[in-house]
Formats: sequence, C-alpha cells, structure tokens
Amino acid sequence: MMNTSNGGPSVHLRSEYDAIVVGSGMSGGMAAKELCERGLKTLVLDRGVPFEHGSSFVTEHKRDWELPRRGQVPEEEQASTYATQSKVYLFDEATKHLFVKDSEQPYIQEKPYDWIRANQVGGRSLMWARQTYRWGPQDFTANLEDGHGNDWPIRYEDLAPWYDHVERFAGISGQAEGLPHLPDGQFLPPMEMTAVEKHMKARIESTFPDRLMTIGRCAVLTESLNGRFGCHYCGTCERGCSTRSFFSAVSVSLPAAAATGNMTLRANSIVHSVIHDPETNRATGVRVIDAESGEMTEVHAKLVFLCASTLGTTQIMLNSTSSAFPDGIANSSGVLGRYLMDHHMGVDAAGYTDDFDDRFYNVSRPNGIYIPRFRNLDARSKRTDYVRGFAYQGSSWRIGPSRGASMAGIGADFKHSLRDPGPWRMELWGFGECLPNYDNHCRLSETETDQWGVPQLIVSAEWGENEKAMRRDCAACAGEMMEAAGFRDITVTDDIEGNPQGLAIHEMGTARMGRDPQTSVLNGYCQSHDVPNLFVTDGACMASTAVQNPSITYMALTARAVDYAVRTNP
Amino acid sequence: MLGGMLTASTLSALVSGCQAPPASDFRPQLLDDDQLDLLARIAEAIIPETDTPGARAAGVHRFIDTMLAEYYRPEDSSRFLSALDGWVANLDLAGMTDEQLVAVLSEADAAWASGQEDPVWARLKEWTISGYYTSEIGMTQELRLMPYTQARMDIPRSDVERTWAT
Repeated sequence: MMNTSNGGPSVHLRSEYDAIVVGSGMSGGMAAKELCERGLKTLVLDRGVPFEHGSSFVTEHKRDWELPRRGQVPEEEQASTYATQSKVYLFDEATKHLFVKDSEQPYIQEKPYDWIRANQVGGRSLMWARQTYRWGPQDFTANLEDGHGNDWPIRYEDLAPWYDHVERFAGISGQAEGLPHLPDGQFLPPMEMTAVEKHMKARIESTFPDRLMTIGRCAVLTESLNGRFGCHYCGTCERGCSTRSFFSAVSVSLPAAAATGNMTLRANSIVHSVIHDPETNRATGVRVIDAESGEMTEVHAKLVFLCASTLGTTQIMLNSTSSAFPDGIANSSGVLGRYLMDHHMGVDAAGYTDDFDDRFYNVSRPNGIYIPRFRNLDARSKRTDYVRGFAYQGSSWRIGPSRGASMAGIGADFKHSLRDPGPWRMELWGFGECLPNYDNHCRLSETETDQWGVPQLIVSAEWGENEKAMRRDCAACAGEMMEAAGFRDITVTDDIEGNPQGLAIHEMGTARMGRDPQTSVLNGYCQSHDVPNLFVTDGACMASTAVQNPSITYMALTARAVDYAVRTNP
Repeated sequence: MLGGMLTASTLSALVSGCQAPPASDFRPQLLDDDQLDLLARIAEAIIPETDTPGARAAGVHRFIDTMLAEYYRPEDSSRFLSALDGWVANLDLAGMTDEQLVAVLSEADAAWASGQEDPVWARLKEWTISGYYTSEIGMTQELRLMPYTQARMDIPRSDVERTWAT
C-alpha cells in the first residue's frame, strides 16, 4: 500500500517489506529515495513526530513580532526541559519544537557530551547548516599514513561518482576552485561575497600564498532545479522551506521516495532492536515500539538499513542482543560503540572594519565563506605539533540597531542614528579534525532505561592532545588572517570547555568501516561484515572525520551502499 | 509550551494559538498600571515619537511585562522589580513631567555611559531597544523589512533607505 504522508502508527503495516530504513533524516531520506527508485517496497521508520513539507512549517516567515516572546525561550524552560538542545546556535522560540526534550529522552554523560537530536520525521536535515564539501583523496588515506585509526576500505575515486549523483539531486551552489584536497563538485552558480569578504579574500590570498577563501558550498539552490525554486533569501531555512530551495529530507528526498509509490513512512516508531536469525545469519527485521502507546511489534524485510544517526544507530545495534551476538548485532569485532568522534569547534576570531561603510547587502544569505584546510597537506605544510588539519567557516554583516543598548544617548537623535547600519563585523569559526580514539565510546546502561524501556545510552568522549595542539595553531592562524585584513578590535577565542564533543553535531564513528572484520563493523559498502543484509550508512560508519561538514559524504555513501545492496541482493 | 508527542496539525494549532495578543487585549501579568505607565514613559524617553511612532506606541512596556512574567525566572523578575522601585525612588521619578523625566534620564544615561554602574538603567535601555526593534512598528515603520528576493550581497549603502530590521 502506498503511503505518501508520514502518518503515525495508524499507517497500516504489512509484515514483510523488501527493505526497512531506520531513520528518515539526511541518510535515511537518501536511502529511502534510492531504494524506492529501484523498485523496492520500503518501510521507513522514524521515532519522531509526523512532519510534513509545508503544513508543518508553522514558524516559516514569521517576523519577530509574530512570535509571542520575540524569539526567546524562557530561561527556566531551557534549563529544565532543553538543557542540552538549548546550546545549539539556532535553538529559539521558532525552532525549539524541532528538538527533543532532554527531560523526556535522557542519556548519560560520563564525560560532558552534547547529543543534539531532532524531534520529527526528517530528523536534523531540517536544521543542518547546509554546508557541503567533498572529502579529498588525503582524507581516505590519512588513517593509513599516520597510523591513527584503521585504513579506510575505500578511496576518493570510489566515492566520486556518488558525490556527483547526490549533488545533482540535492543541488549544491559553490565556486569551483580546482583544489586537489577539496574537490569541486556539480555546482550551481555560487552565492556572492560581501564587500568585506571580497576584501578579506584578497588580503588573505596575497599575504598567505597557501591559503584561499571561497564562498561557502551549500545545499541551497541559486537557480531552479527539478521543479524546486531558487532561494528567496528569507534567512531562516531551519523553520522549513515552502519553495524547497534548501535540501532537506522533508522537502526533497522523502517526497522523491514517496512519488515512486514504494515507500511506507511511519512516524512515532522507535526501533528497539534488529532481529537476527541464527539459522540464516540474516537480519530479518526490526522490533518497533509505538512511541505513543508503548506497544511493540515486529516488521520484516530482506534488507535493513540503519540511518538513525550515529549514536541512535549504535544504540539500536548494541540493544540487538542474541545468542549469536551477545554484545550487539554485527559486533564480533567488539568495536561497536568505539571510536566516537566529532569535529572540534569553538576556536573563533572576530573583528570590525569602518572601511566599507558605503557598502551593504539586500538579504540574509543562508551561507557564509569557507577557508579550506591548508595544514599537513604536503611537505611544506607539514606540522610537527599535530597531524590532520582544520578549516574555517565565517561570515560578515553590519551590526543592527541592537548596538543601541551599549551606546550613549536617548531621544530623537539617538533613535535616528540607529536608522543607519552599524559597523561591519567579520567572524571566522574554526572546525578541526578529530582523531579516532578507542577510549571515546558509547555503551548501554545496565541500570537505566528510558520511558519506553530501552537502555539509556552512556556517552564517554573527550578531546585529545592532537586536537588541543591543533586548536592553538587554528587560533593563531585565524588571528593573523584578521590582522592581515586590517580589522580593528580583533578577538580570538578558544573555548574548549564550552564546546564538548557532540556540539558540532558532526558526531561520527562507533560502527566504523574497515578492511578487517576483526577491527571494524562494516566493509567498504557500509555492509556489516557479520550480517550481510545489514547496512549502516549514517555517521556511525565513519572511520575518521576529515574536516569537512559530513552530510554530503553520508548521502554519497548511502547511495553507493543502496546500489551495491540492490545489485548483490545479499 | 509544547506537550509530549504531537501531530503536525496539533503542533500548528499550538504555535498559531499563542500569537501575541493585540494591544487592546493586553492584560499585564506582573506590572501594575502605575509601573506600566512609568515604563512606557521611560521607554518613550529613550525612543520617542518623531516622524515615526515611538516606544509607547510600539508597546515596549507591554513587552517588558511579558519578558518579566514569562522569560526570566520569577526570583530574577522579583529582584529586578525591587531594584526598579529603589531606582525610581532614588531619582524621585514619580510625579515628574515628561520634560523633567527626559532631563533626569539623560543625566542617568550620561553617568552610565561614562562607566558608572547602573544595572536598572542598563536593563531598561536594553529592553527598550530589543522591544522596539522587534515590534511591528520598529521593523516596518522605523526600519525596513528585508525583502524576500534575489540576493545582492555587495550593493551601495545608498541603495537602502534605512538599515534592515533583523
């Protein structure tokens, strides 16, 4: 039975499907689309509430005065209900309903860890920052070359055609730069830089021949594509996009899957565990808890794709115990849950300039600038104090009337002075690679369960010495580039305490790919070494983090895995 | 505000159901009429009516009541209201004409701007700014709403009459 809406448990389930996809976000949406387009009857399960393109975008285009508290979430509610989620930069009155309530869905932080989770079908694809950068060849060989982590079982050439495939579908705007370590993709026209960004780009590139600034590559359409409209620049993508201009599972990949007639999508469906048949050594389906009634049912399929997010997927796998797999399904290696990673962030620089007071812009651009990695790429850029590298995102804007709160004056002249745009401010935000470390892990609690009886996840991760050494260089480079651009009142901060693992929302690892079944969970096709019809194509599969924002890589890996699964019918 | 597990339709009803009420329906939650009126006069002194409406017309005093009642923790709001009472008494604001009020507040602002601690004044000024420039009047009459249109990220300042409300 075709079901194009994402209904709740009232959606009629058959007992048998060709494929089950757990999770409907960035990876799950792509898995659903690729499976359905190949003719497989596919059941997509998501633990979140129903959420539909258009009708669920309840705060889209609302102006500040239309929000009861002008965008503010009460302090007490932040602390008691959203203690972790409220740390996200875009958490506010208009977006809070997109996040889980930490108070209702607890996890255990053995060390400080921010697990950011979505509350609805489409997952975090609705709230992502839309930055899309391919990995380069060096990212797939780094583990082998410096000995941290295990060797990736694939190389850039294996994934390049799948980057092409998902980029053409998602729609990526960007500027081709010809960098070998940050390969160009299938780009729509780039967005424009501001006057200040153009100035900084010129100064950086003339002062530091090894560095480059480019406009952000992002999954926002700069012209129409496949019936979707070019961006209208309202500036708040995360509230939903009626014109489908930015890529999300809600607006793009799930509708594509639904259009085939092959998808059944069910919300409020918490996957408890994967069912394993020891006779055939196959995953035969999943156990599903109805989030509203608590009732558990089983559904079956020939293929199971786990796309429930890094920690969500691994929680399910660890909870899938049987005589064959007492420590979690597909965990004969014992590394399931291990090598949890995230990008480290919180090394930021900011400054002001008065040299461009005659320049302005007309919209809020849903994108910034990008300074690609320039460390540890060759003999000349080789560092002795750390391995791997970092990159910067950033943006510039003119300060608005809020500056009045710290200015002297009252009355008509004061009011009228705030009609002018304020000074330009430029910011750089560093993102760095995190080494795979066995000690950084998640595991199931043996004593604590959630309201559905599922063991709570214990997360235990911290930054290592390599990340700390890299941050010092990242801060120094940010400061010298701000200086080179001639900005005033420059500040450089390194806030590692305020940015524990998880908050970059690029969590990866815990079911890593690898060549050796004894030290990895998945092979190069995201296929379980142990259970051949079980695939994991979200961030859990990653064997290292590189420095690029990961979503486009998850999607490329997902499309490649589906192609393989359907061709080989494991 | 939003309860447990919601469907898309109940979510929509909830969010649209808690629109800010029109000014005529406003009932203060924490402030009495005298406090509200005094805050309206102070806010109007900071951002007066000129060729566009000022803070009173934009409802800044109502915004402050909402923030005190709904955003801050009750103990923090109580502490502020006590401090406000002391501050008003200290400056002897009650019963002043608007002209006298502007003169006293100009002095208080100058002292604060030169580095003298005045947490009550700093708060009132901050709330007046945030309340006014997030109001419909502040965003549409005083400043300009950003259009939804093709992006032009490097244009002459002179192409835009007044800065964007953001």
